[in-house]
Amino acid sequence: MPLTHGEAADALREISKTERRAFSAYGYKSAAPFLILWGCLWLLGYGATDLIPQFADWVWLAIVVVGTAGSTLLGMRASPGKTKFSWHIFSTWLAALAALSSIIAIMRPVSGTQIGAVIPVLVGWAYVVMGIWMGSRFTAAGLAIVALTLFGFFLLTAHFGLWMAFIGGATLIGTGLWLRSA
Amino acid sequence: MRQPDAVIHQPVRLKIMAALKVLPEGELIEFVRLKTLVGATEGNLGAHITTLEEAGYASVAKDFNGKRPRTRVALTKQGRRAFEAYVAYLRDILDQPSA
Repeated sequence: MPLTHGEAADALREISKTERRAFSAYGYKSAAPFLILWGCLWLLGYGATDLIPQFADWVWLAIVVVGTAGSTLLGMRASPGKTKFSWHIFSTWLAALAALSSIIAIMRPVSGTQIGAVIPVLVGWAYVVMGIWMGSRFTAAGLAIVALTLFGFFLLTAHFGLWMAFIGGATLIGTGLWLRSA
Repeated sequence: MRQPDAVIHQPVRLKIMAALKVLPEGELIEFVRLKTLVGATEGNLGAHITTLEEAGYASVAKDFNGKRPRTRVALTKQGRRAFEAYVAYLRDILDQPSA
């Protein structure tokens, strides 16, 4: 028996609802390993910034290289083929790095702490925007990153590196695990 | 008057197909995750996946993730086409003036 107007509308609504939920779940599952990786890297980078500030630039350079290579590898693992070099992921990271470098070059922060704060704040807001389209857990994660970074920058300036290493890093790792369980 | 695809039209199978359609081609979803998305019981979901598999709309892969057995499901090309045709059928109905 053919469907009525109302039955067709109900079916399309159900499809749309399920697609939205599946899209969010797939996004969460895909993003989780990246967050865990970058949480570990934040822990190392910000920890080194606080403990051995004279080597902070070199540590961060190494972290950017390891993070970009690691993210590309994770992207390759996540793709169905699993063997091809993921130009999409690699290019996305390069574009993100170029965007952050451009902002820093124009704004010329006067201290390492400012650089250490502005990048997580921008990343956090990027997650908020992602969350608007892909699922509320991204928004929650983004807001947490922004709030914790601002708190550390304005209220714990003397120990900002350690704050970001343990609280920021742990937030990223915890969020990654939270997204993986969705 | 065209008839709906009876395999897809069943409410749980419709949700399964909608959830699988979101995945990139060739990507598999774990049975447990699909169960959460669809909101079905394990036995019910398993039976509907078998129906979809028999129709050629879904493929099932069983393997081990470490020591843990794992069942994953994907949409076949035929399933993707059938789902798109089903959605087009629904839209056609909505485009017709209601009686």
